[in-house]
Amino acid sequence: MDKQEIHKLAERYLTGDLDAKEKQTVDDLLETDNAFGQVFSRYLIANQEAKELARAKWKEELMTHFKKEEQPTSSVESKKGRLFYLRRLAAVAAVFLLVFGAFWLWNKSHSPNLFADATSEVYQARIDKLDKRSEESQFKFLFDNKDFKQAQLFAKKQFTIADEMDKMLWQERQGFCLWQLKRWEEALVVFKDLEKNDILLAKKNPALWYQAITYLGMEDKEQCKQVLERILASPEHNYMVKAKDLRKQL
Amino acid sequence: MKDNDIELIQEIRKGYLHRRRAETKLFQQYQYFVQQAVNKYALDESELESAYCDAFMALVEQILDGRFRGESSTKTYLYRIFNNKCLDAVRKNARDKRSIHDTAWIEDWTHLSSRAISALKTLINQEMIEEVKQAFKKLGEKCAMLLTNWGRGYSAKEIADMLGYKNAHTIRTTKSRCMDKLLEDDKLREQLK
Repeated sequence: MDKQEIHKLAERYLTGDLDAKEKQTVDDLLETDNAFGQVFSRYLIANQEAKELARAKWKEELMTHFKKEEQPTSSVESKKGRLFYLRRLAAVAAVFLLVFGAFWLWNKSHSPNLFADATSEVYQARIDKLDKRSEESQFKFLFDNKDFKQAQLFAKKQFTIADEMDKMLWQERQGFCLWQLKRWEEALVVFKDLEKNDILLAKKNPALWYQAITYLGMEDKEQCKQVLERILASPEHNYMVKAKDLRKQL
Repeated sequence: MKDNDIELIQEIRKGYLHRRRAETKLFQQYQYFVQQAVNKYALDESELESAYCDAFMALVEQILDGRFRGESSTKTYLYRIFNNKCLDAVRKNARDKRSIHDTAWIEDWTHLSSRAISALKTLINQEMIEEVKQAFKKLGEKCAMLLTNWGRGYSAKEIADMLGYKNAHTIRTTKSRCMDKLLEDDKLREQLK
């Protein structure tokens, strides 16, 4: 048996594609044929090494979540003191909130004309507070509060600083916001760009579908149909069913 | 299992971009375990963060290969793995020496029979592992990227989409070629002749 054949056999063994008889033959060879065992072992090590390298890279990515949170670093010695520190911090925060709340209520009752400004100040304060949280929460907060303008600006900013993979997500979110704001032309530019940048996704790429519904918002049925045709022409496209339904409606 | 759990698991299994989003969500959802464990274990925060990452990766791997059957919630399951990882880290700190079971990872390859595992444990030695590690460093960028994506548990189809290959079949052929290249060994070739 040559090396390539052993590799193929090992691959099938590791993925569970060998039947019982083949498995037994390999087990026998591992126990009796040293050369076979050597090649098989190296193949297994190479697979394990690939797994470990992938895990190391993955872990590195995951650890950045902690760095983003900017959590205070601690040592074992300071652990006991932390609880006391947190309690004090909570007490200070509670007093601050009471004072701030009282001021806000006073301001609300004494200067009704400034109500809008006061509200926006509170809102801004909440946004500032959120700055300490993850970007995901910040965007979700803005989007859920239907502050699409701020959400779009935030997504745009994130798009410029995010790593390659996350760029696509932020670009997509930016498009959603523009769509909600009915800024169709700008949304279209973003979704077209997303299509170009997101070539890796191929048939899973939702950018074409977004373009179609944007054209629909612009009441440009012809362009919408053309984009839907592109989805329908791509077999097994993820948005095939939706595209078919919309095409029928048009 | 909660609806939220089911949704996240489905997203992870869908792969690639869906998987990435769901992973980020799941990771951040239980990140507070680290803070909770600060007073529980004699580990510093970076060690706890590392344990949480290891536990999280184990959970995702088990979701992908079907070992996580959803009999408990993701929270309970992750918490259990995280606790075990913390205990491992504490033990490792207590006796800071290399484990004698250096080849214990072989048992993680679930399809290998017990006979194969025991034979491979005898065959594999540190020198052989080092040789392959060195060979990995010499591997071209394309092959290294393909093999590490494979190692991360992405399917051939997903890798094809990600790296711009024609289809899953091309990925399988290229992977096989990369492995042959990686394990090119003149001494061994002589032996086999």
